[in-house]
Amino acid sequence: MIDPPILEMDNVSVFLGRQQVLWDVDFRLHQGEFVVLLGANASGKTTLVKTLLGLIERSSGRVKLFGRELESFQRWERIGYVPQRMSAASGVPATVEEVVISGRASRVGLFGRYGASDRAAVSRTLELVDLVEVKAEPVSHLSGGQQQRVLIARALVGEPDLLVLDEPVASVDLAHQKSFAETIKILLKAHTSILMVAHSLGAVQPLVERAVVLERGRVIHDGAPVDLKFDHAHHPEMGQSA
Amino acid sequence: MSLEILEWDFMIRALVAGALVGMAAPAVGIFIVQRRLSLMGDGIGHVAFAGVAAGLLFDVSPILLALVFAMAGAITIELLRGRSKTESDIALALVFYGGIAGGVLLLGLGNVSTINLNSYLFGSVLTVSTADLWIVASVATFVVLTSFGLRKHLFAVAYDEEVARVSGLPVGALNILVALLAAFAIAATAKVVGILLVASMLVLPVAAAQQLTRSFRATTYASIGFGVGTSIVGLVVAFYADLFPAATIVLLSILAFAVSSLISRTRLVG
Repeated sequence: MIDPPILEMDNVSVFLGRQQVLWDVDFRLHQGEFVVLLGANASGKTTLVKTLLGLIERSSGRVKLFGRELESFQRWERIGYVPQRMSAASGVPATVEEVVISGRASRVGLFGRYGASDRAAVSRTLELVDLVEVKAEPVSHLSGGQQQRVLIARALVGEPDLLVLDEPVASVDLAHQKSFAETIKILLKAHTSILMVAHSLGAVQPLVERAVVLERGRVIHDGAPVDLKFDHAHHPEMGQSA
Repeated sequence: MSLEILEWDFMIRALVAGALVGMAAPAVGIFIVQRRLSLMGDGIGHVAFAGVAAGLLFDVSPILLALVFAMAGAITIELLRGRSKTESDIALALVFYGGIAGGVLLLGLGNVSTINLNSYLFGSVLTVSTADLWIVASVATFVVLTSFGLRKHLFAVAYDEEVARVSGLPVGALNILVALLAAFAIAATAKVVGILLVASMLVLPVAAAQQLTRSFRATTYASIGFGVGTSIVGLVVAFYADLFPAATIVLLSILAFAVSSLISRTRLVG
């Protein structure tokens, strides 16, 4: 028997201003699944993810997280989110450790302090993403790839059941893409569900069982992974991957 | 000569008030700089001006009414900021100019002394009374304790609002809290450096500190160090050189920023 989906989108449409960005989107993700959301620029990938997380309001349709309506969902610690960012640096210097542990801030009560379990989670996560040696460094001093891994670590440190990644390897070189794929493999072994937005499959291709392709706000493919080549008009041409 | 300054009660009160606002303003200012909203303090200061004008007009404590107006302005700014970028930009400008225009209008309705008004526009730390000092001490203690107590949550929100929202933190409430803390700090600081320079105490110590630090924690403590240090040294220099205290404190903060930047660059080159 198949478990109920942990993410559900039924007939969701979204307008940004007067422009419709998503059209009647249906989408499901089950426990332990690794789904890659593919599409050209402005195809609606990030809007879909932000709508799922309640960051963008939908104009119609229904969203459920872990079986509960989005509006009444409370267990946000079950979700780790890595937004699309060019840099992890901020207005004031902050170390890798400070940024990563902030991923557990919602677990600390008002006027509370981080405890031993929080620090242990940070140590495990830094080891997982290979950032132990730079944990005391300011984030702004790191390479683009390392900064991206800091954001991934911040999402992972809460030990989420669902990880949502928006273009997590956009500025990462091939070596780090492979190391990212290893991290994904470990998470999948631990039954973490993963939804990843990407332009192409890259180094995670062998791990992907399902790809969802968006074109101009509509789902045009949901199934086995595909290789995408975008022509100048941003229309994807699909072919079954090897 | 060195103790002459402590023979005057008004100078002791001024030094204590300077140290208190030097501690409180950067304690909350660091979250404003982190969010790259350094001009927010100016906006709240403009609205606080209308509060001072109302206080002078109705003969109610100008600091108290500045606080009430600053809180209303802070909440308005934070709510408007949640809108789309262009709209909030224009809306913020409306709040800024509305504050100044409202203040000028209120002043025009009464026979307010220019000397009284100037003391709030440009600061009048040497006229801080014992009652003023109690208000400043209470406000500063509240701002510092709240900023430190909620530092983990405020950092998470200031670092990345979207991720903080997804993690379940009450982002809207925490943003309004930071704006309110800034309003408190501004109302407390108004008497020390004046409404025209009030935002400098929120921003300049943080700007100077972050040239030399590597972590958020170190920047917090160094900012407070710079805030307290420039306030005290500025008052002492102003006393002995017969300078205007508020301007001396602010220019000293800018000098501290310049020196910190120079040290930071020298380190990089070295």
